Amino acid sequence: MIETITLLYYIATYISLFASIFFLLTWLESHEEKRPEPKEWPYVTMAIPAYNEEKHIARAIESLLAQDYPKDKLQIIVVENNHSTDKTYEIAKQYESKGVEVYSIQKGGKASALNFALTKAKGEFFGCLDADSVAAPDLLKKTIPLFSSEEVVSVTPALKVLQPKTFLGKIQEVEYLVGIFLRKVFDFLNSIHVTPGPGSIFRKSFLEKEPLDESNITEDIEIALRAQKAKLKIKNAMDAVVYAENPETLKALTKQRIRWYLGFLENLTKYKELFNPKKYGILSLILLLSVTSIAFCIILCLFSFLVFGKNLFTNLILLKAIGLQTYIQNALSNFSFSVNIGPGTVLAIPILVCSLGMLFVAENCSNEKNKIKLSYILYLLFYIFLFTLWWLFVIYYKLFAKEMYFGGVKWDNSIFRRKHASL
Amino acid sequence: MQVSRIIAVFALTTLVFLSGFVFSDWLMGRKTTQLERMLEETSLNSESILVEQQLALESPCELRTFSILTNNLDTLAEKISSLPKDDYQSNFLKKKYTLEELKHWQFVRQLNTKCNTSYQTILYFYSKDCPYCDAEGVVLSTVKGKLDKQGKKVMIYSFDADLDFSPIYLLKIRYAINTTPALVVNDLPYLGFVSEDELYNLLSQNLTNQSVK
Repeated sequence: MIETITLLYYIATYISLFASIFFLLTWLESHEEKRPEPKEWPYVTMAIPAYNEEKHIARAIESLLAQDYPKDKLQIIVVENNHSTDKTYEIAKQYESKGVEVYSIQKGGKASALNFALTKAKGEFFGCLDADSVAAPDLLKKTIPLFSSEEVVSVTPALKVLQPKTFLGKIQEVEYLVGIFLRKVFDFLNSIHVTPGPGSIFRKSFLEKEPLDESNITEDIEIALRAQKAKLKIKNAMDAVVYAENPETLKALTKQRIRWYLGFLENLTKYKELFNPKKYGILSLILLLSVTSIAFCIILCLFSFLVFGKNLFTNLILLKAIGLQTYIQNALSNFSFSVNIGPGTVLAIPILVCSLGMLFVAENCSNEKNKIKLSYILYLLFYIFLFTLWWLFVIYYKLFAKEMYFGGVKWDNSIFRRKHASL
Repeated sequence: MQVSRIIAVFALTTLVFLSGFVFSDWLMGRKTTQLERMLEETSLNSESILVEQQLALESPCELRTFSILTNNLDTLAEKISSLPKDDYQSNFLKKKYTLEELKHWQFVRQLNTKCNTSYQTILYFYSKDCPYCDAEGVVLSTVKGKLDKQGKKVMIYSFDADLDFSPIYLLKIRYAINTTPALVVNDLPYLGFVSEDELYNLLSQNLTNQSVK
């Protein structure tokens, strides 16, 4: 048992080292192509799908109105769907005087709302901004020039957490920064496999041919994989920032992640041909890397819980047998003693250095002012456990065919569950 | 171009990975070399005692090397307990250490009978995956510390009961030890966990008995 786990640990260490070195080398080798501003800015349509978003919708609309972009080249559409039970529609309506088009559709989820907006779109490009996110004023100026050739069908932004305050927010802050780095590296490797809802821009002609899949719970993963399958290009603008509202409670965050990961899993099965390295090269390698690292993460995390449990048991016995005072004295005198520095401990150092390098790149390239200190430690200590927790939920949902509500739609497919209903 | 990049990454990763192993091996090696040196010194000391015993016939109770040897064993005990479990080299070192402990135990018994000293001895049998062994270890060092302060001499010899080594096997038979933790306090076996108070009473009682004698 111990031997197997040690072996697994070494394999996992090797894989994470490999991935870290690969990504950092790619970063160092690749050069950001120059982005000349077009002589004439193209017409862009930005759509905000909204369901029960009265708290955030105004903020999102205002961030689009404040875009540093020719006003006559920007169309803003809000699509409220499924009869929100709050004042989302009324609040959005107030912006009609400023040129915002507001629609309400009877049913359907986020993808339906976007597909509807597409029929009203006049732009050459079509972007989506989740109602709970905020675009930086230069989002369009930074992303549009990346549509340099016809085969670029989408450009994704750099996502950041909007004002992280809580413990979970701080952890997500680091997670998003790692994401900023990875998305750019994936861009260099032609392997972006998600076009996130907050702020991704598409070539409208592409979406008209390939509308968003309304039956998919993560339509933003589905459309990216579909584009990858067709060997089209997705680029990333690392300095185009969109701030996303982060779920502040563990329950809300878990619900969000279950949806993401269920969608990831579903779409990987839908596009399993992408795992063929002969046809899809680096993309298949990266998908394979993510699937294996998830598996390793779960196994090793569960094992570390087992070890922790065992240690706790031994220490409780020790405490009971010798009493608190002696226990504390003993713990203090043995503190630095009997530590064995095995290969696992030594190898953790290069991995840590690599991850710090990634964060450094991400902070600098996305013009982050608040350098991360405490958050990184929190991330190191707790992220793997949260990540495992979310994946265990995903496995549970899959095994017991649970339902889930998202965007006013019940996602059954015998997979999602009712308990987290947002209705 | 992409294939060559991946090969380069593989090579680099393997290099870093292997150097991690080499480095930790070097660290462990330094630790064990230090231990080996100490063990050699200890065995030198015990041999020297044997010779001293033969030479110093007139005053067999004033062996200069004895206190040095005792200190040696005390430092070794700490180092031995921090060895990684279950690897060939640490098992080998443990066996050598066991022999040194047993030699010392013999010296002490001889001293007690011939020279009228009052060393108390405890043989302590532990094994890994024995929840109460850690506790017993702490109890032993706490009690020894208390008695040391009172100027009472207690010697503790700890043995890995799982070690495949015939001296340990013989001791286990002699004192009928079939469980861990187990103590042999002044030749009397006590199986199972002995608490701090119990052990303290046991050792102080013995001391009074001896002084009565």
